[in-house]
Amino acid sequence: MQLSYNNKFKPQKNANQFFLKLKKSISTNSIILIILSIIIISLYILSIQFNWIKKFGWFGSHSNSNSIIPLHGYYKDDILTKNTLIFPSIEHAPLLRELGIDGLFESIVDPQGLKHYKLTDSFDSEDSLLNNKLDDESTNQMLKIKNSFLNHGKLKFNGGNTPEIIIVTGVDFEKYELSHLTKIVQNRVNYAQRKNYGIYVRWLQEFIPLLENSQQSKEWCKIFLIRAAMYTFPNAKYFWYLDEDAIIMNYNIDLYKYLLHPKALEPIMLKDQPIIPPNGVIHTFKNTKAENVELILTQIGQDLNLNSFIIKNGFYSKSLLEFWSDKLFRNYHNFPGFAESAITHILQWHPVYLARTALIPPRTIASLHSAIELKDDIHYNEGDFVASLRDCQSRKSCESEIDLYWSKTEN
Amino acid sequence: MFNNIDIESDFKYSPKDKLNQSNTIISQLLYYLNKYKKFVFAIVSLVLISLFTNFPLIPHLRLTSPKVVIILAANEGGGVLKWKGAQEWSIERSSIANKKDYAQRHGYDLTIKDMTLKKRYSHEWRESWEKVDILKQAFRQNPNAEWFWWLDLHTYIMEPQLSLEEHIINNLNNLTTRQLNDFNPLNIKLDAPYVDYENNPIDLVITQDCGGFNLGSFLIRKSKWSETLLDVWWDPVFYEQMHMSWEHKEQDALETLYELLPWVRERIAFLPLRKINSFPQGACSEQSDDPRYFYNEDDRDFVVNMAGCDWGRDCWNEMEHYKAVSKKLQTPWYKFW
Repeated sequence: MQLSYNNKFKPQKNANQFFLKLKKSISTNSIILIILSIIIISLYILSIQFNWIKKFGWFGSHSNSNSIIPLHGYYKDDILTKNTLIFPSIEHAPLLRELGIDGLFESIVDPQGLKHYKLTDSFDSEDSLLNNKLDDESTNQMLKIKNSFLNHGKLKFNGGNTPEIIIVTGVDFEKYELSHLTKIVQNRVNYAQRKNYGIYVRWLQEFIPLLENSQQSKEWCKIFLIRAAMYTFPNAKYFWYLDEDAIIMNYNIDLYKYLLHPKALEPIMLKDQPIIPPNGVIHTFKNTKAENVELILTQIGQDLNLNSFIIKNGFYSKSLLEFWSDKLFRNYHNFPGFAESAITHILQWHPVYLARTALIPPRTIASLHSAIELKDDIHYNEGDFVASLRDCQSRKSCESEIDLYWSKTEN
Repeated sequence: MFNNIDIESDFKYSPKDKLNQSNTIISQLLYYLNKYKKFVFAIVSLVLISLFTNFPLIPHLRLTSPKVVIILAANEGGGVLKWKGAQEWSIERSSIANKKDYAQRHGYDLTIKDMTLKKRYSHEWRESWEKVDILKQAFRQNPNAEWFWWLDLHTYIMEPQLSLEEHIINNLNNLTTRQLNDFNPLNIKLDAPYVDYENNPIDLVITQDCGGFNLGSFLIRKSKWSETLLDVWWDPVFYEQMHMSWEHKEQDALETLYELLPWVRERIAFLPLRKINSFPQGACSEQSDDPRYFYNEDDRDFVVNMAGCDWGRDCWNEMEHYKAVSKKLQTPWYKFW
């Protein structure tokens, strides 16, 4: 014990001796040398750090941002609103039909004889000028309606709490009478109010000037409409596009818990499912994760059903909508199903979008109407969320079908 | 026995001793530093040279992995349609050596990509744009890199001492314009709905020459935006309708996408041509009096792109000319031999 005790302290004694020796012999040079090297190394590390800050320079103020045109929609000005339920004055439908597209927009006819409608932004002043000249009651009424039609697209939500889910519907005053349009919109309003969702309803005709000519199908307008909804509700999380030919049947379903939550979506996603069943070569990915899904679609036969689908708010969906509604797709001669053909094409050729798409069973958000009750996986059964009246126009029974389902849900 | 332990622990934890101990470590260190003064000096200076300079023969330490990858498109045509002559080989050698030197100097990665004519890129078979496929491949192969600088074969870096960071990347917002107000040779509509410049970073930096967008020398940042762009750049439906008017292939396709799609427009920024892509006098010959396009020795332009030199001009002569100019400009004043 005694020995080890002594040994333990020996080195320290030696070190003390070193220290004493050193005190005498330390030259200022070596200290300077060390300090210098520390400074230089820290400078180097700092310079790396500094570059890292600079890399994110775009967060800072832009030096030439004065000249940059700020974000805007198709109109120069927005009309701000705090209302989460945005829909047009449905009661104008009969008079809008009377006015017709030609009465609502100016048009030019190109050399090929195709009519193109112009999107106007300056109608406010134009109309007030007209108002001064004309005192006729009925003309005045027509102008008011026209004005309300043309201004509806300028509405932009700026309230405090954006609803998470926005139901987007395009309504067509040429296809439905007032009574049915009222039922369609009231159905969305009733459901949205119960669940605190927002709704965004616009006349499909508002988007006609965005089409190249009057020959293009109005089907494309729904893609423009969803993009406009994203501009109107920039902070919403999901946009549910629901055609006018569809009725929400079950007001008790909370869409987020029912479908959108990754844990709800994961088990029902159809993975490795052909885009064009049954023999399509391109299938949905096996490893798509529910939390990465941006587009939720159902299939009907060989088609993707755009009667009812959900798109998440974000970069991929914005870029998808703009790409999807591109002029070159709209003008393509070989897209018989218009927007449906285009998305079928996009998913098969562009893996960026396919990787973020989920196909789900039809009865989740688009149970099809059938004349006789069919207990299968496609058609409407009692208690289903949505009744989709797809192709009701070819059955020539849109209005009676809406009446039927409306009476079912409201009783 | 207990006594002993007590004494021991007392000694161990007395504050005075602790101080001494740490002092001794420093003093020991100082002692050795002093003893091997020359050796320490040599090591420190070596480390300094390695960290801060590009002095040859010394391994250069970089704590960060390269953030910039230079993609050089070489072997254009690959001798499929005609034999590669001596001049073609020479051009290729000069161009590659030039980029290799530049990449080494600044610690960038250089990948040289083969542009041999392939059936899959010929009109009847067209599966994609070749440039796009190469970029996708480079993105995959360099997962940690941020910026990718595409350079055509017929380019020459005239001022290799300039790093991309200090010359361009660190100052992107001031150097570039997001809108085409000042220079718009294609007369693209300036305003588009849904374009949000303020909240989007710059992901693609290109230049415009007298004929519109030029993709001879451009920078692209890896992001979800650029991966999406590379995916939609080639689309068979677009190609079917446009291939007759898309004379410059992917370049014209990008112009179309820029014009039509707000999300594409949002993250593209334009540099003045002479910042990374100066032309020789032979290119843009209809506007040969416009100083915005052409290489200027006095302004020490960064890169020359001998665009279109294989269309009736002499690539080899131009390359040799600019090589000589660069050599002359890079010779330091103290070098007499």
